[in-house]
Amino acid sequence: MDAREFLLIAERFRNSRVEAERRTSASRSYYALFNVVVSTLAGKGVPFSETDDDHRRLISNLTNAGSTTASSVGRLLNELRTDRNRAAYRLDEMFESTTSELVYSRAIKALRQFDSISAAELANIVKRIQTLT
Amino acid sequence: MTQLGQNSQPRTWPVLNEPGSSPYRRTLFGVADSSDLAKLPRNVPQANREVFDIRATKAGAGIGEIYFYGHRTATPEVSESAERFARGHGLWGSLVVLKSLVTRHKDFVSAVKVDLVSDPEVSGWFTLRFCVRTIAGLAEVLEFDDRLRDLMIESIPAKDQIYFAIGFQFEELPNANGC
Repeated sequence: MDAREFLLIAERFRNSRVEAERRTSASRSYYALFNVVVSTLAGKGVPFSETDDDHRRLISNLTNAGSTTASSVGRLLNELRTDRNRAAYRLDEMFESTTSELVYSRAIKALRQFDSISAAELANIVKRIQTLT
Repeated sequence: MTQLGQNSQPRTWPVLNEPGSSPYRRTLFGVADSSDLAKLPRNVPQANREVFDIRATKAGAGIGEIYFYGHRTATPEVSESAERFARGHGLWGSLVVLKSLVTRHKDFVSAVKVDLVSDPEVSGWFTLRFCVRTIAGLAEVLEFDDRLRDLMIESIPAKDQIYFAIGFQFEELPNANGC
Protein backbone atom coordinates (compact mmCIF):
# COMPACT_ATOMS: atom_id res chain seq x y z
CA MET A 1 0.00 0.00 0.00
CA ASP A 2 1.20 3.50 -0.78
CA ALA A 3 1.29 5.55 2.43
CA ARG A 4 0.04 8.55 0.48
CA GLU A 5 -3.36 6.90 0.43
CA PHE A 6 -3.62 7.84 4.10
CA LEU A 7 -3.93 11.41 2.91
CA LEU A 8 -7.19 10.61 1.17
CA ILE A 9 -8.62 9.64 4.54
CA ALA A 10 -7.04 12.68 6.16
CA GLU A 11 -8.55 14.95 3.54
CA ARG A 12 -11.98 13.36 3.79
CA PHE A 13 -12.20 13.76 7.56
CA ARG A 14 -10.33 17.01 8.17
CA ASN A 15 -13.56 19.03 8.28
CA SER A 16 -15.78 16.37 9.72
CA ARG A 17 -18.41 17.29 12.27
CA VAL A 18 -17.41 14.18 14.16
CA GLU A 19 -14.46 14.85 16.42
CA ALA A 20 -13.22 11.26 16.28
CA GLU A 21 -12.94 11.60 12.51
CA ARG A 22 -11.01 14.86 12.78
CA ARG A 23 -8.62 13.12 15.15
CA THR A 24 -8.31 10.26 12.68
CA SER A 25 -7.51 12.79 9.97
CA ALA A 26 -4.64 14.24 12.02
CA SER A 27 -3.30 10.81 12.74
CA ARG A 28 -3.41 9.74 9.07
CA SER A 29 -1.69 12.97 8.04
CA TYR A 30 1.23 12.18 10.30
CA TYR A 31 1.52 8.54 9.30
CA ALA A 32 1.32 9.37 5.59
CA LEU A 33 4.32 11.64 5.86
CA PHE A 34 6.23 9.38 8.24
CA ASN A 35 5.81 6.28 6.09
CA VAL A 36 6.60 8.01 2.80
CA VAL A 37 9.84 9.40 4.18
CA VAL A 38 10.83 6.16 5.90
CA SER A 39 10.07 4.13 2.80
CA THR A 40 12.13 6.43 0.58
CA LEU A 41 15.10 6.63 2.92
CA ALA A 42 15.03 2.90 3.70
CA GLY A 43 15.06 2.25 -0.05
CA LYS A 44 18.27 4.28 -0.24
CA GLY A 45 19.92 2.30 2.53
CA VAL A 46 19.10 4.24 5.70
CA PRO A 47 18.60 1.71 8.50
CA PHE A 48 15.44 1.78 10.63
CA SER A 49 14.86 -0.32 13.71
CA GLU A 50 11.12 -0.76 13.14
CA THR A 51 10.50 0.31 16.71
CA ASP A 52 8.87 3.38 18.20
CA ASP A 53 12.28 4.99 18.35
CA ASP A 54 12.26 5.36 14.55
CA HIS A 55 9.87 8.30 14.89
CA ARG A 56 12.23 10.31 17.00
CA ARG A 57 15.33 9.25 15.12
CA LEU A 58 13.84 10.16 11.76
CA ILE A 59 12.99 13.68 12.90
CA SER A 60 16.42 14.11 14.43
CA ASN A 61 18.19 12.79 11.33
CA LEU A 62 16.25 14.97 8.93
CA THR A 63 16.84 18.04 11.06
CA ASN A 64 20.56 17.33 11.22
CA ALA A 65 21.02 16.21 7.61
CA GLY A 66 22.60 19.48 6.51
CA SER A 67 19.81 20.28 4.05
CA THR A 68 17.38 23.13 4.52
CA THR A 69 14.61 21.19 2.82
CA ALA A 70 15.21 18.07 4.89
CA SER A 71 15.33 20.24 7.96
CA SER A 72 11.97 21.76 7.12
CA VAL A 73 10.46 18.32 6.53
CA GLY A 74 11.89 17.20 9.87
CA ARG A 75 10.38 20.19 11.61
CA LEU A 76 7.00 19.58 10.03
CA LEU A 77 7.17 15.92 10.98
CA ASN A 78 7.91 16.97 14.55
CA GLU A 79 4.89 19.28 14.63
CA LEU A 80 2.71 16.57 13.14
CA ARG A 81 3.92 14.05 15.70
CA THR A 82 2.94 16.36 18.54
CA ASP A 83 -0.46 17.00 16.96
CA ARG A 84 -0.95 13.31 16.31
CA ASN A 85 -0.24 12.56 19.98
CA ARG A 86 -2.81 15.14 20.97
CA ALA A 87 -5.30 13.63 18.57
CA ALA A 88 -4.75 10.12 19.89
CA TYR A 89 -4.32 10.70 23.60
CA ARG A 90 -5.54 14.11 24.77
CA LEU A 91 -9.22 13.33 24.62
CA ASP A 92 -10.07 15.88 27.28
CA GLU A 93 -9.20 18.70 24.86
CA MET A 94 -11.48 19.62 21.97
CA PHE A 95 -9.86 18.79 18.63
CA GLU A 96 -11.18 21.45 16.29
CA SER A 97 -11.43 21.23 12.52
CA THR A 98 -8.98 24.13 12.20
CA THR A 99 -6.42 21.95 13.91
CA SER A 100 -7.05 18.89 11.73
CA GLU A 101 -6.92 21.18 8.67
CA LEU A 102 -3.68 22.70 9.87
CA VAL A 103 -2.20 19.25 10.40
CA TYR A 104 -3.33 18.09 6.97
CA SER A 105 -1.93 21.22 5.32
CA ARG A 106 1.37 20.75 7.09
CA ALA A 107 1.54 17.15 5.87
CA ILE A 108 0.83 18.17 2.28
CA LYS A 109 3.45 20.89 2.48
CA ALA A 110 6.03 18.50 3.92
CA LEU A 111 5.36 15.91 1.26
CA ARG A 112 5.73 18.50 -1.49
CA GLN A 113 9.01 19.62 0.00
CA PHE A 114 10.23 16.06 0.33
CA ASP A 115 9.23 15.27 -3.24
CA SER A 116 11.08 18.36 -4.44
CA ILE A 117 14.42 17.05 -3.20
CA SER A 118 16.55 16.17 -6.18
CA ALA A 119 18.17 12.76 -6.52
CA ALA A 120 21.60 14.29 -5.93
CA GLU A 121 20.49 16.12 -2.80
CA LEU A 122 18.73 13.03 -1.53
CA ALA A 123 21.94 11.05 -1.97
CA ASN A 124 23.77 13.66 0.13
CA ILE A 125 21.07 13.56 2.79
CA VAL A 126 21.27 9.79 2.94
CA LYS A 127 25.06 9.92 3.26
CA ARG A 128 24.81 12.43 6.05
CA ILE A 129 22.15 10.43 7.90
CA GLN A 130 24.25 7.28 7.60
CA THR A 131 27.08 9.06 9.40
CA LEU A 132 24.65 10.11 12.14
CA THR A 133 23.21 6.66 12.82
CA MET B 1 -23.27 48.95 29.73
CA THR B 2 -21.64 49.61 26.41
CA GLN B 3 -19.68 46.86 24.80
CA LEU B 4 -16.29 48.31 24.09
CA GLY B 5 -14.61 48.22 20.76
CA GLN B 6 -17.63 49.05 18.68
CA ASN B 7 -16.97 52.76 18.52
CA SER B 8 -16.26 54.09 15.10
CA GLN B 9 -13.63 56.57 16.33
CA PRO B 10 -10.33 55.35 17.73
CA ARG B 11 -10.11 56.15 21.40
CA THR B 12 -7.63 55.83 24.17
CA TRP B 13 -8.66 53.48 26.91
CA PRO B 14 -7.32 53.62 30.43
CA VAL B 15 -4.47 51.44 31.46
CA LEU B 16 -4.32 49.66 34.77
CA ASN B 17 -0.78 49.57 35.99
CA GLU B 18 0.28 46.13 36.94
CA PRO B 19 3.05 45.66 39.51
CA GLY B 20 5.95 43.94 37.84
CA SER B 21 6.36 40.71 39.71
CA SER B 22 3.35 40.55 41.98
CA PRO B 23 0.55 38.09 41.37
CA TYR B 24 -1.77 41.08 41.04
CA ARG B 25 -4.94 40.22 39.25
CA ARG B 26 -7.97 42.43 38.94
CA THR B 27 -11.12 41.20 37.36
CA LEU B 28 -13.98 43.04 35.73
CA PHE B 29 -17.15 41.03 36.06
CA GLY B 30 -14.94 37.99 36.11
CA VAL B 31 -14.20 38.04 32.40
CA ALA B 32 -11.04 40.08 32.11
CA ASP B 33 -8.03 40.99 34.17
CA SER B 34 -5.54 43.79 34.18
CA SER B 35 -3.28 42.04 31.73
CA ASP B 36 -6.05 42.23 29.19
CA LEU B 37 -6.32 45.99 29.42
CA ALA B 38 -4.13 48.00 27.16
CA LYS B 39 -3.87 51.41 25.70
CA LEU B 40 -5.14 51.81 22.19
CA PRO B 41 -3.27 54.78 20.74
CA ARG B 42 -5.25 57.42 18.90
CA ASN B 43 -3.23 56.84 15.77
CA VAL B 44 -3.55 53.10 15.91
CA PRO B 45 -3.23 51.62 12.41
CA GLN B 46 -6.24 50.10 10.73
CA ALA B 47 -4.90 46.57 11.07
CA ASN B 48 -4.55 46.94 14.80
CA ARG B 49 -7.98 48.45 15.14
CA GLU B 50 -9.32 45.35 13.48
CA VAL B 51 -7.46 43.23 15.98
CA PHE B 52 -8.99 45.28 18.73
CA ASP B 53 -12.46 45.01 17.32
CA ILE B 54 -12.29 41.27 16.80
CA ARG B 55 -11.15 40.69 20.32
CA ALA B 56 -13.59 43.06 21.89
CA THR B 57 -16.54 41.46 20.20
CA LYS B 58 -15.51 37.94 20.99
CA ALA B 59 -18.29 35.48 21.67
CA GLY B 60 -19.13 35.43 25.35
CA ALA B 61 -18.99 39.18 25.82
CA GLY B 62 -22.64 39.84 26.35
CA ILE B 63 -24.49 42.96 27.41
CA GLY B 64 -23.51 43.98 30.90
CA GLU B 65 -20.05 42.58 30.57
CA ILE B 66 -16.89 44.39 29.74
CA TYR B 67 -14.84 42.11 27.61
CA PHE B 68 -11.93 44.20 26.53
CA TYR B 69 -8.81 42.89 24.98
CA GLY B 70 -6.70 45.69 23.64
CA HIS B 71 -3.78 45.29 21.30
CA ARG B 72 -0.93 44.12 23.47
CA THR B 73 2.32 42.31 23.48
CA ALA B 74 1.99 38.63 24.22
CA THR B 75 4.23 37.74 27.12
CA PRO B 76 4.97 34.04 26.93
CA GLU B 77 4.20 31.96 29.96
CA VAL B 78 6.76 29.23 30.43
CA SER B 79 5.71 26.45 32.77
CA GLU B 80 8.05 25.42 35.56
CA SER B 81 8.56 21.98 34.06
CA ALA B 82 9.37 23.49 30.67
CA GLU B 83 11.86 25.91 32.15
CA ARG B 84 13.50 23.21 34.25
CA PHE B 85 13.80 20.92 31.23
CA ALA B 86 15.10 23.66 28.96
CA ARG B 87 17.71 24.81 31.45
CA GLY B 88 18.70 21.25 32.30
CA HIS B 89 19.24 20.32 28.66
CA GLY B 90 20.99 23.45 27.47
CA LEU B 91 17.93 24.58 25.54
CA TRP B 92 17.13 27.76 27.39
CA GLY B 93 18.91 30.00 24.88
CA SER B 94 17.00 28.43 21.98
CA LEU B 95 13.75 28.74 23.91
CA VAL B 96 14.37 32.44 24.43
CA VAL B 97 15.16 32.89 20.73
CA LEU B 98 11.99 31.09 19.74
CA LYS B 99 9.92 33.15 22.18
CA SER B 100 11.29 36.24 20.52
CA LEU B 101 10.54 34.92 17.02
CA VAL B 102 6.96 34.15 17.97
CA THR B 103 6.11 37.26 19.93
CA ARG B 104 7.52 39.72 17.42
CA HIS B 105 4.34 39.15 15.40
CA LYS B 106 2.23 41.23 17.73
CA ASP B 107 -0.70 41.66 15.40
CA PHE B 108 -1.02 37.97 15.16
CA VAL B 109 -0.22 36.43 18.48
CA SER B 110 -2.34 37.18 21.51
CA ALA B 111 -0.83 34.73 23.97
CA VAL B 112 1.91 32.15 24.13
CA LYS B 113 2.28 29.30 26.55
CA VAL B 114 5.26 27.00 26.64
CA ASP B 115 4.84 23.62 28.24
CA LEU B 116 6.70 20.36 28.44
CA VAL B 117 4.93 17.43 26.80
CA SER B 118 6.02 13.82 26.66
CA ASP B 119 5.46 11.37 23.86
CA PRO B 120 3.15 8.64 25.17
CA GLU B 121 4.72 6.03 22.89
CA VAL B 122 8.40 6.85 22.98
CA SER B 123 9.98 6.75 26.41
CA GLY B 124 12.11 9.77 27.25
CA TRP B 125 10.96 11.90 24.31
CA PHE B 126 10.03 15.32 25.62
CA THR B 127 9.05 18.34 23.60
CA LEU B 128 8.79 22.00 24.54
CA ARG B 129 5.45 22.85 23.07
CA PHE B 130 4.70 26.46 22.17
CA CYS B 131 0.98 27.00 22.22
CA VAL B 132 0.34 30.13 20.20
CA ARG B 133 -3.05 31.69 20.68
CA THR B 134 -4.04 33.67 17.65
CA ILE B 135 -6.89 35.76 16.39
CA ALA B 136 -6.01 34.88 12.81
CA GLY B 137 -7.74 32.36 10.59
CA LEU B 138 -6.28 29.19 9.15
CA ALA B 139 -4.90 30.69 5.93
CA GLU B 140 -2.96 33.37 7.80
CA VAL B 141 -1.74 30.87 10.35
CA LEU B 142 -0.38 28.63 7.62
CA GLU B 143 1.62 31.54 6.19
CA PHE B 144 2.84 32.49 9.64
CA ASP B 145 3.72 28.86 10.32
CA ASP B 146 5.89 28.77 7.18
CA ARG B 147 7.72 31.96 8.09
CA LEU B 148 8.25 30.83 11.64
CA ARG B 149 9.61 27.47 10.55
CA ASP B 150 12.09 29.12 8.20
CA LEU B 151 13.18 31.47 10.96
CA MET B 152 13.55 28.60 13.39
CA ILE B 153 15.74 26.69 10.99
CA GLU B 154 17.92 29.77 10.50
CA SER B 155 18.06 30.81 14.14
CA ILE B 156 18.07 27.69 16.27
CA PRO B 157 20.82 25.05 16.23
CA ALA B 158 19.72 21.91 14.38
CA LYS B 159 20.42 19.71 17.39
CA ASP B 160 17.98 21.77 19.48
CA GLN B 161 15.15 21.87 17.00
CA ILE B 162 13.84 18.39 17.75
CA TYR B 163 12.91 19.61 21.22
CA PHE B 164 10.52 22.32 20.03
CA ALA B 165 7.05 22.16 18.54
CA ILE B 166 4.54 24.86 17.77
CA GLY B 167 0.79 24.53 17.93
CA PHE B 168 -1.94 27.06 17.35
CA GLN B 169 -5.05 27.83 19.29
CA PHE B 170 -7.63 29.66 17.23
CA GLU B 171 -9.31 32.35 19.21
CA GLU B 172 -12.24 32.57 16.82
CA LEU B 173 -13.45 29.25 18.16
CA PRO B 174 -15.55 29.45 21.30
CA ASN B 175 -14.21 26.17 22.63
CA ALA B 176 -10.59 26.62 21.66
CA ASN B 177 -8.81 24.93 24.50
CA GLY B 178 -6.30 22.68 22.88
CA CYS B 179 -3.01 23.37 21.27
